[in-house]
Amino acid sequence: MKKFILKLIPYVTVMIIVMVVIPYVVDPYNVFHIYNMRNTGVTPNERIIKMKYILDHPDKYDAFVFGNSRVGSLHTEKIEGYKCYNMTYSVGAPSEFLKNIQTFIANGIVPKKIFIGLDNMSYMSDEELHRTDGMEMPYEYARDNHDTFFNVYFNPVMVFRSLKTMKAGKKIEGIEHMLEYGWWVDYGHATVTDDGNLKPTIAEVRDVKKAIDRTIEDVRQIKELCEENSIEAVFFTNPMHYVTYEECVKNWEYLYFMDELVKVTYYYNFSYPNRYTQDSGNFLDTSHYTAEYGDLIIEVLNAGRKDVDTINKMKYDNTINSVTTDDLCILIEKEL
Amino acid sequence: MLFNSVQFAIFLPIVFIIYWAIPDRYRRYFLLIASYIFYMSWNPKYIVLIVFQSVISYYAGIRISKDGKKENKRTILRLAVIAEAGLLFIFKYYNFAIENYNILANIFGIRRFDAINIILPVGISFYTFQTIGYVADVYMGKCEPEKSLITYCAYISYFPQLVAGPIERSVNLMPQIKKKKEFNYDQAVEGLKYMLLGFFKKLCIADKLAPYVDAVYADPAAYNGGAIAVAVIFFTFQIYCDFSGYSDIAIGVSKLLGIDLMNNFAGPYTALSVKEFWDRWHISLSTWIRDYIYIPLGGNRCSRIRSNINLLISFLISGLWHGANWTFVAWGAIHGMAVVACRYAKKLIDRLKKSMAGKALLWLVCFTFLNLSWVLFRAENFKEALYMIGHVFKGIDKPAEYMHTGLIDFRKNLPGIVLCLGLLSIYDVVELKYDIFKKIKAAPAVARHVIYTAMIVIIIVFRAQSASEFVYFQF
Repeated sequence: MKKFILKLIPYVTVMIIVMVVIPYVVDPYNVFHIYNMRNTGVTPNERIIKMKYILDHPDKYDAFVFGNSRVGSLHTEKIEGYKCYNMTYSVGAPSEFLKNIQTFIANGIVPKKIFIGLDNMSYMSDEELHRTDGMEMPYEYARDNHDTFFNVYFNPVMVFRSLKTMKAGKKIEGIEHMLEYGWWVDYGHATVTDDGNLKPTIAEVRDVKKAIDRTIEDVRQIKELCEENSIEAVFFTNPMHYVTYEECVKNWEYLYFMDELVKVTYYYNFSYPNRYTQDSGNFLDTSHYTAEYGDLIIEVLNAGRKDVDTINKMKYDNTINSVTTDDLCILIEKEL
Repeated sequence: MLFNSVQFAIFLPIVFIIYWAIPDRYRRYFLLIASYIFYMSWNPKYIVLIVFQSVISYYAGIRISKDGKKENKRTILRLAVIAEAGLLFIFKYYNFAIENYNILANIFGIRRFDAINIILPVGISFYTFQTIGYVADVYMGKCEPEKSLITYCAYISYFPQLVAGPIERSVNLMPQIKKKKEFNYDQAVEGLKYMLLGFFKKLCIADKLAPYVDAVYADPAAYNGGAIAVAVIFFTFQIYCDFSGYSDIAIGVSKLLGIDLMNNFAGPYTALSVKEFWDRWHISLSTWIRDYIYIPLGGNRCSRIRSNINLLISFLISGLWHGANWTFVAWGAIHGMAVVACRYAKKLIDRLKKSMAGKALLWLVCFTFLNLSWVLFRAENFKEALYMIGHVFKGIDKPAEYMHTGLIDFRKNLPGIVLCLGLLSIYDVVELKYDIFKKIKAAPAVARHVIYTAMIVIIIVFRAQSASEFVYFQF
């Protein structure tokens, strides 16, 4: 027995170092270093980091913005009347937002208000595909599936592959203030150059109608959950760069999405084509808008539903263009 | 707790150390406690049923041996079998029976019954067969009844094989639980080898193939012929690697505790006929069915037709054992018919086996049959199964596109999958002639450690990200 254990010890020791210690220390996705995040060059798992942070600080915020990376341009500290945190995370889907809100409520965190940003990526994202991705594993899935969590994060192959990215020295935006605010796009960010060859930001989906219907059902459940818990839920569609928008409406799908959405809730439509979405100076790429553009959205959200006329007449000034903002947003309250 | 879970990685070393640290006379008590803890990790309520079934069969064995009259012995045997099988029926087949009864009730306008809300306890099919087998063995005089309830319960609940077999025989396992054991270094090392092999099959092959198979079977209409064909072949390997991987880990864990379980698989996909396949696949179940159903029905000690009927009945029961669905029964039926056909074609098969080309042809026919029959096993219903089978060759007239759409969804994982399947195939073929573990044992120390290290590295590098349950747990 002694001989057996002695012979096993080197194997077990090496395996613990390779499969536990090294992945824990290197931790490219920062899931084990929430309060001392390193800018590894690898996009951290914001889903796990932000949820853990909020659950550790249940009284710090009374409002949240949910959405994919596009809402990462919203500087939520400018939301008036609330201490608002930006729960943006890459390719976030409404099914994930729903689970996050359920987790908050189950842990005694009942916000007064939530804002949900939607767009074409809302239905093009598939939560199931996120489950085994180090960057995208949902918090609730990680919490309930320890074995998959172990396989993904205590994975020497993953660590080895990340080393190349980490050595390249690239820095990820937004890490410094992820815990305080949650947004990642700062002011003065470089914008995309429109050379006429821009590619739309879309993803391949096997059955688009099914995906849209499923997403709308998730939105409905979010709305119901908020109503049950006296949470004011405000939905809006993100501004979409015209190249992406045109691609999405070419096959009717985004129009169908918007038509189905109004059956569930009113929403602020920032995504329809207007002079802002036509201007590449308002976008980092064909997916993400600038923080300056985000401020305009926040002004609309602050103004609220009553001031529809105000929304439609707001001015928008920046150092590049001065244009009237009478078409920044349309409030969609009923089916057209 | 799954074998491939963090929980088990903590559970096993603790059990191993305590088991060998305590005096031998306490080991079966400890084994029983550890087994019950293992079983309750799924659902603590399950323990009531397994204890109840253990106690029924334990007392049945005692009563049978004490009673002098053969008729009484037979009555006790029947009552015990009815009780054990009855509980299996309630938990596993009641709702299936009610569903089918209600179809007839609708036709004839008679009273319908509601389904009951019941959870299928993990492993019930396996340990129920063990209890029935024990009582039958006592009745037939193959073994003496076990006097110690503790030993008997430890035998029924023995955790390495509790939830997915091998279905052990009392004459093999109980004496090993009872006998005084000294730690055997060679046995323990062999146990680790089996575990490595099992984890390789489960983590590097079965779990890698599972997401693709699940996606296609969930929505076959969304995929073309190439993708369906790939999913069919992948499931063939998924179920083999999942199930035999579990068995290997179970055998390996048991060897660490100084107990040898029976072998459950012997390179089944190297079989040249369906009859040969059943000599190599889930051996513990097929021998159980042979000994407790086929032979009592008359076996082949009767006319050929009667023997074939006995065989078909045995395969129908085998199919039904796997699940409460007509697809499983149909799967059993077509395998039964195939084995009967092999009987009639024995001369032809023997002649073909004499040449390499003949063997290749036999293998191809057998392997194709297995692939297509597994579709019935995996599909939710006949409609889905027939759709899959009917569309396997759709688009094959454009081979390049057929292959492209078949492989596109997992091309990232393809090299790893091909490598692992290749290694497995080589292992299974070589194992037919040589005991590979014995060869490794005889190799120089450096070579042995290189092999072990290589296996561990392969498992770490090629394992799937997501952990999934073992397929046979649902039975």
